[in-house]
Amino acid sequence: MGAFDPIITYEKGTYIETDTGNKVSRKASITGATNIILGGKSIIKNDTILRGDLRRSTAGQHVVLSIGRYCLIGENSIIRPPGKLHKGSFTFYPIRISDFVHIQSNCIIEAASIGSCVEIGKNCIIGKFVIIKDLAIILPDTVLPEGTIVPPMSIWGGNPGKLVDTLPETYQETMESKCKNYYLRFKSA
Amino acid sequence: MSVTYSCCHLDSPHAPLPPSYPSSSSSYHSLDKLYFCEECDAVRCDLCSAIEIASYFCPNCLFDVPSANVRADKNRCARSCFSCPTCESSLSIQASDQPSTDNAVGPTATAMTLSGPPYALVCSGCKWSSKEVGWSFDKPTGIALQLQKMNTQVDLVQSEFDSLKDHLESYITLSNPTPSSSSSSRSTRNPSRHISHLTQMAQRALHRDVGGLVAYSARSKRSSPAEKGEKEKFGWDELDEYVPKDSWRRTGLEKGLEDVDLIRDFEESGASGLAALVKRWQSSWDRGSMSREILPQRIPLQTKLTKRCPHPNCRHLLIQPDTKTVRMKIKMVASNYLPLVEIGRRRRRLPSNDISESPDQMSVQDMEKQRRERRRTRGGNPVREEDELMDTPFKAGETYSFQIALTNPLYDPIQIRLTLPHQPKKAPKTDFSVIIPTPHFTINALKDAWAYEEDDESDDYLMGGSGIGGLEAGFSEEGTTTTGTGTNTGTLSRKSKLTILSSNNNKRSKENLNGIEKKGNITKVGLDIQILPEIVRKSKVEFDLEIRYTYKADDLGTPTNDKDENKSKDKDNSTQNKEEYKNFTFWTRVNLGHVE
Amino acid sequence: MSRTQVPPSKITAHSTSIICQDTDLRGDITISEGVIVHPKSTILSLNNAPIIIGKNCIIEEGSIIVNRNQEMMRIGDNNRFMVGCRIEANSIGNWNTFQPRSVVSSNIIISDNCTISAGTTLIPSPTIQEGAIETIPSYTVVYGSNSEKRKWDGTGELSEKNLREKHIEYLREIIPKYNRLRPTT
Repeated sequence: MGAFDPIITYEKGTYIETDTGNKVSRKASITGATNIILGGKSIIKNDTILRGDLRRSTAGQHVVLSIGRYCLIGENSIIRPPGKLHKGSFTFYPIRISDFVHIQSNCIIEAASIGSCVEIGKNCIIGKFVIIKDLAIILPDTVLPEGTIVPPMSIWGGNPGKLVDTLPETYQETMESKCKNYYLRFKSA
Repeated sequence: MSVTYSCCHLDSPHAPLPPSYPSSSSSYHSLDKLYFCEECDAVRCDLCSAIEIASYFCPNCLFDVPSANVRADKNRCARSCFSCPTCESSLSIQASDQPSTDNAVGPTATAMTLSGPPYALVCSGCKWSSKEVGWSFDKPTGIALQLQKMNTQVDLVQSEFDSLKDHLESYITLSNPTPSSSSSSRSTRNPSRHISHLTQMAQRALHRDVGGLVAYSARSKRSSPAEKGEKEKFGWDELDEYVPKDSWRRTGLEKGLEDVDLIRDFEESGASGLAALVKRWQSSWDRGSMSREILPQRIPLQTKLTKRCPHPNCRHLLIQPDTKTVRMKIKMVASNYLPLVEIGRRRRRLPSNDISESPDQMSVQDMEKQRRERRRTRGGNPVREEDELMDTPFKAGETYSFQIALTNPLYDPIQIRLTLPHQPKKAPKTDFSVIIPTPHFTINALKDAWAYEEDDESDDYLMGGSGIGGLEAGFSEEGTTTTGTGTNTGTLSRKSKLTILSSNNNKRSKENLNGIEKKGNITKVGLDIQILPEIVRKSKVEFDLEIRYTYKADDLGTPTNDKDENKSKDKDNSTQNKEEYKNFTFWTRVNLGHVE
Repeated sequence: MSRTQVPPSKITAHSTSIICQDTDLRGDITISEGVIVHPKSTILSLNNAPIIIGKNCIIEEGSIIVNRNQEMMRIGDNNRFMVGCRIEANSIGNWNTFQPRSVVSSNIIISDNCTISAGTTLIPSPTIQEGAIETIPSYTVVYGSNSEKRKWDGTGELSEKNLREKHIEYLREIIPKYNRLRPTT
């Protein structure tokens, strides 16, 4: 997989590397950073917006956004928790993103959860409380309306998004090695 | 730019038709979509594998539907999952606003407006609401059931459908294998069995009289009508003619009146009021053509599939999904057996000064000669090359060099032989020739990631390093084959190939010497493409590559169906040493783009 | 549009409005009571024509509101401009929703209770005269890949309005805790 993929470089110092190997761009807008968990070896690119400030209404410490290992949040993508009424009062709900999730550039994500080995193409809009199960591909420019459920091993596309195809049985290995490969290729110049 | 793998289906492995034949592209797949049957030692694909449905589930509520209920549910979700009639996204259930606050808008209306029944289905994509078609529900669960009770179905249509179903049901139960034997024969059941019934029916339909040919068929039948009738029925399953309860002819007059209504509606609503054809196709029975008459459909079920080897004597499972999780209980995929082939690093060879002839005047033989010269002088006089993007079109008369990378999926090192398959005599000539300077090389074993890292530090992970360089250089001349000239010199010496594999030399070779680059379980070798100067049409640069790999067999001493194996692969019997080596040959099609 | 064309900003914001520091407001902008402007949003008035934003509007991150005309751009009450939308309409009524990455061009007047769904584009109908202004009637929904229009029957309207009011109430509580704000008058 990816024997000819080029190395992706960034200017030294433009990314912060954490102890667990996360690489977070200094140009990313991260609000409420204390409410965000990164699993390790994940990449947050330039000009992304992570809204960790939109937390639950109940008291106490809450994780607003948890991102697993080997994830990618592409340029200009926005991750923001979805909100709705619960027992008459408004509250935001957390977003859980599992391991090996690639979100390409210019996406707007308001999902409730995204399973492992999910690839979301460029310019996608993932509506509020969407649940994407493990092993799925959202094609570029897809719009998933509020509350859509994406079952495992499916490919979605269109506006509004529809199930267009199913994935081959090898997809999990393909996606895992793709994500690991991408992380290894993402280096400072 | 793609590399696809050939599947020979049930035939014995053979080189596929060259890409210049239009009919030869059918059985190529990318590696991630292929399966591998260990018993048959053969590649299988989605077209040839036998497919059974392992389980049904609703893609929206993810409920596993027991297969016993599927037919009664008409293959659609029987709970509360509906798709929107205008935009096809899934509908959600919404409680209605409290009627008491209907005239207050603004901050005063905020007092607990969320309330109970009646419930409606609403679409979050386009804000369609089931109130538009007059549907509302007392409970927020089991919508399909509530709807069934409301029964929006026309009685006439339903009774007709039921009687047709009864009619066909008797036929289906008759033709299915008896259930008593199913327990024993389940594992070897032929899944294509009732396809044969379908083909019979289809064939039967084909044999029917065609309207315009009545005279002809009457004439032919006249010869021996009675006998012919008997003959036709012989061997066919009996299916009585279905007599409809209600003939469509009788409703002809009312139809006309409906059309008048339709035109009136259409005048009122304008073009947007007319339902799109796509929406009308989706509802299987006769529905109005106005968009407000299109009803939500229950969401069709999805399946998980079990895949089997298609060979009649094998039928081993290739894919067995776990119904509860996304894992596979059995997963025999080709990517665990065959090396992954990738192609990249395209470079265009720049003309060197010593070439006096212009490429336009060169014949194929000249180019061949030139190429051989160039290879001989390699090293001392390096060829100048220029990097190019992979997707730019090729130019006539130019030479391009690529790198082809093979990734070893096995935990043992393998030996690779790359050849270009023999072209049939009458095959159309291609507009380019392919040169593989180093057709023989080895690939290191797949290891865990940490093992590589250690190796990289100590720099001694290459097996048989010293031997490879020399041998591969030796092979290179002989192994060169070209398609353009039709001179297939695919002869190769097998000498000491196996000793390379078994030798464990820790000395690192100068890998880059013959354009061989090794890193982990990936080996990259060069590949040259020479586009002929005299090209008239915009042709594709596409060729087949035969790849044979030699690997250490681990099932030593347990010879499986030997006869079959000899047929399916050229087994190397010359070595009866302590370790046994096997060959496997497969074909890939490499598409590099097109000539400008 | 170069930065030099934009005249000095004149921003009037009501004291109950919440405007994050990390926003781009340029031109003559009046922000009414209760409005929330999330970080990374842009409100831009070219030609120094004023933009007036009504009560209790929510302007989320990445959204862009532009006034290209010579006249005033009046935005009504309780509108929600969701993530990444781009709005150049001449005027906007009340209770409209501009879903993520929706685009509304100029020469359009939006009435009340309209929904411009995610990823759609609203431009004046090609059948009307060039440069003429099209009024989008109330309860219009623009949806799908072809940006088709349909009419919303108003199902769940009250609960939606209730949700928006509760939403803005909660934002008033939570935004100042995590974001630096611009001073308001």
